Amino acid sequence: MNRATQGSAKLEWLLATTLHYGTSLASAVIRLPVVRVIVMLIVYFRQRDYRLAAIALLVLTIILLGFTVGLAGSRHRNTPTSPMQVRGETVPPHTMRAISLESNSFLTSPRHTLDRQEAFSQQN
Amino acid sequence: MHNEFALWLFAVSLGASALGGMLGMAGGIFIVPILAVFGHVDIHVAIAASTVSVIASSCSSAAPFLRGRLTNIRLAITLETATTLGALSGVFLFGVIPVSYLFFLFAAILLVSAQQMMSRRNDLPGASTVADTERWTAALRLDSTYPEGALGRDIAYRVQRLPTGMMLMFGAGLISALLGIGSGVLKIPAMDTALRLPIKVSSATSNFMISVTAAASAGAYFMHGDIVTSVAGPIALGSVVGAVLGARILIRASNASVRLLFVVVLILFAAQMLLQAFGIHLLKGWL
Repeated sequence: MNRATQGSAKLEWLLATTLHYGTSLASAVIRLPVVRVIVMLIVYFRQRDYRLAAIALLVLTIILLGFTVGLAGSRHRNTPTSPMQVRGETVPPHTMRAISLESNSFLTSPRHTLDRQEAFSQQN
Repeated sequence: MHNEFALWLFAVSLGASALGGMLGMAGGIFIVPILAVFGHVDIHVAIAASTVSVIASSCSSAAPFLRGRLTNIRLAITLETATTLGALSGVFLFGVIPVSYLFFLFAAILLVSAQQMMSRRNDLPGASTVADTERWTAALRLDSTYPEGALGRDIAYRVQRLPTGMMLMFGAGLISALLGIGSGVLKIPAMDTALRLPIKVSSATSNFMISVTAAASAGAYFMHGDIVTSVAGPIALGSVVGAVLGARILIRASNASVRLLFVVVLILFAAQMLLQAFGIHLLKGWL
């Protein structure tokens, strides 16, 4: 394996690791404001500021209601259950439908046509 | 989804959050049009992913304002009842409203943002008129003070017309969920005009509220499967880095040149979104 290939393999590993942790980060990021509201709820309760504690509880309830609504919506949706492969990655079918990728886009073209010259020559 | 696209998402998110952070905005207002127009990502996926970016940006930039005692936390949690309700209402409308309407609405918001940036809001230290305390604000003890560096002392202010402010916050939450933006462009003027808050307090409190507002819709989108984690992941990472970078760049950049740059960018994006709303794709085939 030559140096260029080794470098490319290392970059791919690095990006894959980044994506892996990024996926966890995305779900953790959504929970962070919820944690913030819980902290405020506890602090106001301990300070015996029951009005603000009630308001914080209401906000928390609304956010959790959002989670519930989303979950209920996903269970009632009529979608096939089998996942699909997109460029080597398993993607749920509803995301396939949601991500409408144009085949002539440089950013979304398959790996073997990422070379810009080749992509343009194919279009012409 | 290959790595080049992930890298592109990261770069877009970093740039958008840095640019937005320079003017106290979350990056969603740039991320959604860039993903929809240049990345050819379905606008619903772009909006859902953008909500994650908005949360990340808001959380990372809230700490300095809190330490600076500019954020009115009690007011923020009170107004969040309205913004989260608005966001939840937006979730129900998400997917019901036609895509062209979303593009049109986004173009309108971009133009409003450009107008907001062009009109300079100068808040003279100590110029806030202190009116009588209203019933609701007295019951919830929302009146407060903020440190004014120019005068070297704390300035007292009162929160006024809370019911009007709550209605405007409901609308801001609705827009936030529909378009995947922080809606700071709506919240700050609402706090300025309806609640009569000093501009620094408006900006800080709005920034503090953005994450919770976005979480109300992001949670629903996530459970519903509208947040594609391979898209949202790089965007979340880029937003965290970009928000920090934006704050540092802001210190060095001239206010006038930054504002002018953003007005131009916002108008261009608004024009592109309007064209998309009418089914005209000028950039199709360029990328």
